[in-house]
Amino acid sequence: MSGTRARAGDRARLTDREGFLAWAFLLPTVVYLTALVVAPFVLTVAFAFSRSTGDAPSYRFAGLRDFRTVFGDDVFWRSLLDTLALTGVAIVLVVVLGTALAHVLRAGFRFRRTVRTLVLLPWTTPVALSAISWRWLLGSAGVDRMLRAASLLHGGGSPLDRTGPAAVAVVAVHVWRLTPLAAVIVMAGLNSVPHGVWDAARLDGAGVWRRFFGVTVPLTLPVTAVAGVFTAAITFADVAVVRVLTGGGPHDSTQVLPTLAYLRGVEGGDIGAGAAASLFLLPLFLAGAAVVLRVVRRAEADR
Amino acid sequence: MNGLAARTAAREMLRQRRLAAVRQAGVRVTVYAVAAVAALVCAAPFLWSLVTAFERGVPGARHRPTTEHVRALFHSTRFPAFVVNTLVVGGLVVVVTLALALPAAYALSRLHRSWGTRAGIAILLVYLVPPPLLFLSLSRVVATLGLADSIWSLVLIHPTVTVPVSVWLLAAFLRAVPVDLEEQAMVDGHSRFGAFVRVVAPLVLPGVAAVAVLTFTLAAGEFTYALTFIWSDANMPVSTGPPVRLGGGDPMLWRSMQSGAVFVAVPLAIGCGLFLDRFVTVLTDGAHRD
Amino acid sequence: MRRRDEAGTAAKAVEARGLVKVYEGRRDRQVRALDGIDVSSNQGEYLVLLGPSGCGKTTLLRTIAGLERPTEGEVYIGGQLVNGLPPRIRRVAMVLQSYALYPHKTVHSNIEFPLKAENVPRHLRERKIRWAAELLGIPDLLGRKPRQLSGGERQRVALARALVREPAVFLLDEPLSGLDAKLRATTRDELKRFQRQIGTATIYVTHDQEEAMGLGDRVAVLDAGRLRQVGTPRDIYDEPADTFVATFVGSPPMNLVQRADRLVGFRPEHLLPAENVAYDSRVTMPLRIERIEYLSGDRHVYGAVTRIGAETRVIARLPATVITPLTPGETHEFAVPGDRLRFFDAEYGIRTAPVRIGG
Repeated sequence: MSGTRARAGDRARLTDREGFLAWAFLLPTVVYLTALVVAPFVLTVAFAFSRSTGDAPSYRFAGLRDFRTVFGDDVFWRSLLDTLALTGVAIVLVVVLGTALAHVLRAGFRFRRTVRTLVLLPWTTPVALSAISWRWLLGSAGVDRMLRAASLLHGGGSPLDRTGPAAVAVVAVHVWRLTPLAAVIVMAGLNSVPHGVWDAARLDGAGVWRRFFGVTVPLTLPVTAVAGVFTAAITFADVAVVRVLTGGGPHDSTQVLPTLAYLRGVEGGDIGAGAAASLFLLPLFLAGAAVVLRVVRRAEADR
Repeated sequence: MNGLAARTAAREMLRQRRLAAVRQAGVRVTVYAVAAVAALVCAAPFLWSLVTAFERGVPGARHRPTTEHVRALFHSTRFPAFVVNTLVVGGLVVVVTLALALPAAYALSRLHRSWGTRAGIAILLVYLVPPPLLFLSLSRVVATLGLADSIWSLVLIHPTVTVPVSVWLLAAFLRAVPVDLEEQAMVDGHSRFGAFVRVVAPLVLPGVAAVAVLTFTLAAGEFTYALTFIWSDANMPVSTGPPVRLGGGDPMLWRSMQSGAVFVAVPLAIGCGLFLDRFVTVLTDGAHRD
Repeated sequence: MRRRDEAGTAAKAVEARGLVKVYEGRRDRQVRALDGIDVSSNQGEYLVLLGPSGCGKTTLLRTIAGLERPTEGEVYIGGQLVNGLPPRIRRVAMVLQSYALYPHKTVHSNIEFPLKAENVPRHLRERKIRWAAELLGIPDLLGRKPRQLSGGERQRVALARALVREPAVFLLDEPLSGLDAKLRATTRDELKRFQRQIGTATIYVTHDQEEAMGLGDRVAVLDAGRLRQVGTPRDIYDEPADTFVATFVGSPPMNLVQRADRLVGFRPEHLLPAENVAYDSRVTMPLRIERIEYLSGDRHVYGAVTRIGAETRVIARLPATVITPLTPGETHEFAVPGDRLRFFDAEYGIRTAPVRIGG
């Protein structure tokens, strides 16, 4: 127990300083995301006012030319509506089905592990491959016969060749794919509700439905909102389902903004028009961001 | 009179007990039914793919099963190359993502700065930015860097999707490691960095593994960027290769492709399934704390 | 055991001067967790920081350890200014409330951890681990993982890990609060014995006055980020510096009766039936008895007094040797020896000079 023992390195190093560490640790991520998300976004906005093309990609300002092109394009209006409708319908179905699935997956039952793994399939499989499988299944003789028997399909060809059924299929595949994700998020929300709350509600004589709508739903609303936003963001940004399942057809009836942006910007070579079309996804992104911010702020106020 | 009241009460109790039993049985049946339907629906397209992959050419006709389509997948298509590309891209994306996200998550979860919360939310919001808003610009960036039609373009760009999610999840995993342990390590003679390496890192390792699997899954599934940046068969990953190259070709290859989808789908689902509880737990804790 | 340095010529083990710690709360609200603390602990001394939860005692300990950075003021360890130095350089060892055993390491590796951090050569490490383990009676546990240990065993491992650092000061943050009541009593004795054996200065944080009075050479009472009193347990108990200390220490707490601009205080055990108190210089008062509790031989008498000031509820603690029959509802003459009365300013609660009370 010597009183003053001199030690090597007895001084504060840079690695002891929190402020420095915090910056050093966060900086690479911030730089990376700024360079490859924020900057490209600004570039996209710039492209929307340019006459840049695939063959001549250098920047030339063109004022509102691209927006005039886009507004004059019937397919654009279609895509805009389709994107909104698809996102709206998909969100509602995903949240409802995801909540139901979450409740079931939390319950104890045999083969739970197997069921959980199977249920994850839609979300973990690369979307494009799922879309291929769905296209194969929907085009199969069995499904064809079933649809005809239920008079959901008339005339020739696969359901994917017809306007209505094709749109339904696009929505269905999105819902099928994102419900597991929503279920996982909602499960987490359910776990975070203190168990005593349900017990108290039971002792207070609340039945199953009253417990669900009076206790569970309000308490898991924030996390459900987050699940909704995330699934929505994936839905309205998705290119794969439409591109692989229907190719945007028949007659561009199932095009959405992302596929249109790809069609015009990459395949059509008109970068300006593609960028201008894609910019109309911005309000959807902002709406999602607003919901997330609201949830976070609520959670902070409750803390 | 009293006896009658008691008998009525007893009968009422019996009725209630029976009602409760019926209700409980009903719940169990519902749980099993929904679980079965959900599992079936989720697996449906892949089950069909699996069945037809072993069918001979003519649909509907009853024949002995054959492995010719599966063999064709590996011998007559680029599928093996697609898989290799995805493995390489996915592996490298995992490395890049963890290298960026782990320190960032640590900074957000532990080194309390006044801007910490805001930075965390900003990073989360980046995840919501739709790729279609970026792919036209990014393809110019990729071309300028000389990475066009190279898998390196994906290694560079995919982390824009995976880093935000990973930062968020890793921060939650880190918050689950008690601060006490880290402070103890600092009192025991380590710098903050030393405490992180010696004590926090080993404890957060399972969480890191979970995030690695998720990152790989996201990278393997990404479609838009892969479709935009890569056009040579040899460089395509599984997410774009089969639909782009096989879709239009020989109808016989459709069956091969279906088996390919199953080959990719099953390992990914099992991998993520292993970590499912961990994700749910950490999201739960996150909900508690934030 | 190290000899005490009565004159204080040698450096204090730990000294805090004018420590202020301000936390920035939500919406610009500031919390002053430490509000100008001056306190020092002598070499080899057991100093207990006592106070209710939220009084700043843990913050003070963490500031000494270097886990918190003070807003103002200085910390000296062994006479050296340690402000700005990270914990690892301060030569302190800390046992946290949770014990913070590294769950992925065995007991052996846990104890070895600080030695490795200082690059102590292997054979020396082993020797020190043995020494610490034997001192704490845990050589059999070295191969286990923390989750296989009981609460008491965990605490010993945490102590052993602190011990091998050979620190200038031990910092213990409520190390007994995780144990059940029975174990707590025996562990308290062991802690005291252990410290006497090692002779290292120890600063011990607790909210439990029994622990504080039992363990401390000196006790520092904190409230709302301020130091209320520092002194031997006897001083704290007999000569409280203010009404906070008077009522926080002691169970049941000191009785306080208002009389003009003063508060008159007396301990429950000094309030006895008048016939049990020597006649000279005693102060008597009629007590209207409301309730009597029997606690391990003592009688706790709850009642109200009027004579010496405003009517006030007080508690008297009668030892088993006092056999005066008392029944709830009746009024009985009680008395306090005059030299047992303590006087406080009614407005500020600070100790004042005695006042004559007729009676």
